[in-house]
Amino acid sequence: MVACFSKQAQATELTSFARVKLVDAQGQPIKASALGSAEAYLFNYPYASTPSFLINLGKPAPDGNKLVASDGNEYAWRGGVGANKSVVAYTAICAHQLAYPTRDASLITYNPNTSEIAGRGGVITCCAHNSVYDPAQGARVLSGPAAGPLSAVALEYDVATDELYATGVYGGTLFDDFFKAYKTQLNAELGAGKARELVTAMAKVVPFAEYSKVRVQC
Amino acid sequence: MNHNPKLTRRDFFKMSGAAAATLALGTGASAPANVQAATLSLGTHVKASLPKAKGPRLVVVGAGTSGLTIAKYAKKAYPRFDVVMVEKRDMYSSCFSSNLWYADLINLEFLANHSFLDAARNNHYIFFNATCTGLDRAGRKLMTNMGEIDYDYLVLAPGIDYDYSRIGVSDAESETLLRTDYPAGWTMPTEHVTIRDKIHGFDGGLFIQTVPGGNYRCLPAPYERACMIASYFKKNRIKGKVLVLDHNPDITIKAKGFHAAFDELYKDYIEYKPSAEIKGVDVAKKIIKTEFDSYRFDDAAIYPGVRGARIIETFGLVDPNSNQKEANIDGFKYHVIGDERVYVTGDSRPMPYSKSANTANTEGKYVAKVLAAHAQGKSINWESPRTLCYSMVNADPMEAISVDAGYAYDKKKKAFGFSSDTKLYENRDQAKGRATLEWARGIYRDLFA
Ligand SMILES: Cc1cc2nc3c(=O)[nH]c(=O)nc-3n(C[C@H](O)[C@H](O)[C@H](O)COP(=O)(O)OP(=O)(O)OC[C@H]3O[C@@H](n4cnc5c(N)ncnc54)[C@H](O)[C@@H]3O)c2cc1C
Ligand code: FES
Repeated sequence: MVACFSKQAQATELTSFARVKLVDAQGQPIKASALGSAEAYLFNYPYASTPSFLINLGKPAPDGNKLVASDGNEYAWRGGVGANKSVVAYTAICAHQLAYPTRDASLITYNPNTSEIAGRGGVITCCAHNSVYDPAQGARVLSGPAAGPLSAVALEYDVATDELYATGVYGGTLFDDFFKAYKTQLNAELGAGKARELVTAMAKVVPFAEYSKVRVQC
Repeated sequence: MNHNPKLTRRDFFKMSGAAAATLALGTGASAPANVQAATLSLGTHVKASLPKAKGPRLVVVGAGTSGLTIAKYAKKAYPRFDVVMVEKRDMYSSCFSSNLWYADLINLEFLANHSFLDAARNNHYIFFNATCTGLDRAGRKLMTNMGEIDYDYLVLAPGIDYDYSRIGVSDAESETLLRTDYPAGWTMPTEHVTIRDKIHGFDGGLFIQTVPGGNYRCLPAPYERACMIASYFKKNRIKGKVLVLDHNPDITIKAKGFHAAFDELYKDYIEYKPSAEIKGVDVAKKIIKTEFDSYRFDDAAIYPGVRGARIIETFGLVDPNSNQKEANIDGFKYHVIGDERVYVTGDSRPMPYSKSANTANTEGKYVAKVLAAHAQGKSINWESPRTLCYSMVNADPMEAISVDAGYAYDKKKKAFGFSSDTKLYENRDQAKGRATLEWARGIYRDLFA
């Protein structure tokens, strides 16, 4: 009983991973205030194979709302960071049936403008089965089949330097399911066992368009 | 004398000797009776070779979309369940998405590279490769060709069977010919292989795709198939035409999107004929008869009516009000009326939901919770299944249309209908084309990983 409880709690509470600095293609630190809000950025974290969204929503995303993870446990969303509290990050693995961005295409995308299935903009949609998440509110589910929010990447903001760090993941991680579902594919793509390698020190942030050739919007 | 129920080896030999004597002696009328008794004893009273149940045993019949979902999610919802999946096929191959194979948008691996064993191992249940043949509800025993299984809970998710009488074919000879020469392609994977061969080997002429009446499996699929065949003909410059002979007065779902595809993409390749109820087929002459017309075809995929899987009828579980021989179950809780230990789900259900994979998958997650609740003496609120269904209408480039529907119960009419949040997306585009493939991959991940 105890073991079972603590395991579930771990999934929604923060799971700490290496504290990594978010950098650009040249290895230079990303400046939070320089992030455009017309599209999402992607970086692999906490594993070499697990993409995360970095989004500047263009408006503050206050913390505080209580969310319920896919496993039924409650947790609190920590809100956006940056000078404007508008920068958020989430694991880009759909909490429904695990669609995620690959080099070829991504069915899960950030829609700054209007989404057909959501009827509004500023949402993350997964067109595989029409799940809609609100990145301004901890990626809670607005509609569709996902049983819980996208897991959130904990960000740390350095006011003095305007730099960003990722420190962990919370809100129900799905990494074990992800590795199970895509084992053969990930091994073929990255080499045997490489998918689970942890990102340390730095994570490279790229515009979404550079990460996935086709970004499917719906 | 008979106090000890154990038989010694000698007793056994004595008995079998006696039986042999009876058989040898029996002539004329008595011989068949004995032979029959011997045959029956083969399949019954032999326990299936399965580990002893470690909790309430939940037996699921049918590792299709519905059964695979329920086995996995019932175990998740209530880990004490000892789940046994009984499936007659020894290899999975997907019915949904098979239309895409005809136009080479996917390969056979996409449909078939999914193992029942992986599903069982990943989700902590037992896979038992056997055909279910009988049911003793009083004794809570399921009969299979590999022995008997005791159950605490039983889910029957056997899918559909065809009903050829609904297209005016009632003699076994014509039916067998039709099943073999012009299969529908909505049940067995081997039908898909035959149909693909027909399309790819087509010499030109008229290919007929029929659409049945009633609540047939996957409403949009025959129209999607027509688009895939036409697009293959178009791309490979085959002088062929697809005639869609539809029992219904119009395309049954996503009509605007399909009509647009037929008119704009396949003007020279698809002809659509509504209100064409089939009254008979002359297999030898390759003629389909409707009330007023006859159509001669060069090749065809003939989709007869659909009914609940035959075992539902064999087990005496048919709903007297169902004209498709579907199961007599509680519309909200899925158990057989009067028996809360036996459930029927998926395409054998009597509710008028779309008989589709997304429906079976979402419904299965709810039924898993119902079972878990029942086993713990609780109950839960009804949740509607969801029908998200993509149809690929163009192969080059891949473009699709879709519908995203839920259901609601109308207390006045005492019937289910579409819920108000149902949405149609009938403008074909490439985004939905991509989504069509990822939709299927997502379901496979859900069923097998
Ligand atoms: C060509 C085609 C296109 C389709 N397109 C779509 C689509 O685009 N979208 C969509 O959502 N759906 C689609 N579907 C429909 C979808 O595949 C089915 O509705 C869905 O799989 C139904 O699930 P089920 O579990 O009820 O039945 P099935 O998946 O048919 O599973 C039944 C299982 O029971 C087993 N079984 C039966 N009898 C016994 C027995 N006596 N003992 C042991 N095992 C037994 C069978 O072998 C089978 O594995 C399509 C289907 C076809 C064929
Ligand atoms: S995988 Fe994203 S909605 Fe299903």
